[in-house]
Amino acid sequence: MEGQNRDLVNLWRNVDVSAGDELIFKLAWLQTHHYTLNHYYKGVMRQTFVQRYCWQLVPAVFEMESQLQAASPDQWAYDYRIHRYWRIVQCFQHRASFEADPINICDDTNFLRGQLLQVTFAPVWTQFLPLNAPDPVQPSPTPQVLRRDSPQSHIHAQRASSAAKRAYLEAFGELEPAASYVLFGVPRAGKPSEIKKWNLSSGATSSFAPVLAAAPNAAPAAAAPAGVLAKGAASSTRELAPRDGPATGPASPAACQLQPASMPLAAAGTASTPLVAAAVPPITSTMVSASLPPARW
Amino acid sequence: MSGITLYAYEPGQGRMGSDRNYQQIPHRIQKIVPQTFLPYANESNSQLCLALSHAVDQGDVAFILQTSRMQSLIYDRNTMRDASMTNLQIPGHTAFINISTVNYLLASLQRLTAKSLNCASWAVLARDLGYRYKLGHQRVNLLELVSTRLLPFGICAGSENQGGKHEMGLAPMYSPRTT
Repeated sequence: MEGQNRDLVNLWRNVDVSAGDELIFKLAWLQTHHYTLNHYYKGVMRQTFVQRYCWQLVPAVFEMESQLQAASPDQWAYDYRIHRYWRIVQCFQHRASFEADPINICDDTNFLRGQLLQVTFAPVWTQFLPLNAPDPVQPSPTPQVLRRDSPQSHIHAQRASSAAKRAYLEAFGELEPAASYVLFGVPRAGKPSEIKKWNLSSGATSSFAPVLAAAPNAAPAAAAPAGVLAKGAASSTRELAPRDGPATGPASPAACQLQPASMPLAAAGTASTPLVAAAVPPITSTMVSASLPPARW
Repeated sequence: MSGITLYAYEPGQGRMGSDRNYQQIPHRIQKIVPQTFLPYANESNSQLCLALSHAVDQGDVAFILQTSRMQSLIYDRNTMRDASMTNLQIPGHTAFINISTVNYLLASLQRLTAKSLNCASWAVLARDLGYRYKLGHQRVNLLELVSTRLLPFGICAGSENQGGKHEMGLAPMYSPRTT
């Protein structure tokens, strides 16, 4: 039954068979006359009909590129790729054809010589979709509205759309914030939507008021973490840090700890590798941890 | 509990290819290939059947002839005259044929016409095979016959010599020597 076999009689001896070829049985419209049903030496059975064309099951090699078989007046149309066929085996090796004539499949004594085939035997009755059949999944009958792009649309086409950015950030923003910055640049801060994106609610920004009051000399941008830095104050000199930078001990006020909001705030107090704008007055880790609400993850 | 190791391919225990999970082992089943009784090509022999022995041999693609009445294929006409044979169910028997016999059946069944006698051997076989020849030999009927009644089942392994030495020649059978 199914599986590898190395002893298959080569019924496909009139065609070249390559390794990997699917060997099949298909119907063919052939002249039928003499039949030899076995080759048992004690009782070979032969039968003879009055000559007539009939459909016969013949061996063939599957070929997708061959011409479709058209119907003729005395027979109905049959193409094995449309109207089904028996897929029998898949061949392991190359076997050149050694019979030039079309094979006489009606004579079992024809197959007493020749090399055997090594194959994987897995018979399947196979049918492809008819060429004129509708697709299984029909497109929506509602006509799609075509967008009328401006003549300069090719410029926009090369830039990532905001929807693509948003989709990327939603998918990878928490995993690879640094990579997203490389791709899309450092996000602008200051807008309410940006504040929301950077994990700081309006309540969180309002909690900076004591900080601002405690450090009146500091620049306004310094009152917030990097996520809410004023646009002009630090965006030009800010650098980004790897998310999982090594902790080098407790932070000092001299080492300003500004981090993207996508980083855990708990880690903000210990990580010192993030480098921040030199022009921005520092916020100590104690200030940040005391003034910010817990991060929402 | 000694000599049990986790894997067959541990160092010193064998090669990685020794693991049976990575081998292609064909499924094999032992089946009897019975002598098959088929109608003659000549309809004048309608009351007799052609006794086909060794319908498949080593290396042949063995087709199963899937009929509703297996007994009509593996018993001759004399046995079939027994009234007890009509409703006999013999699920343990399978009629195997080769590709030449498949084409012999196809050629015969396509020679049936609506005027063929219902009691003719080929008409009886057509009914057993569910082939509706009286509707004409339409494509759907023929494809249904080929796909559901003439099934490639396996590749025959085991030659006709399996019966013993008496199969090696035309001489009378004798028991193999055991000494």
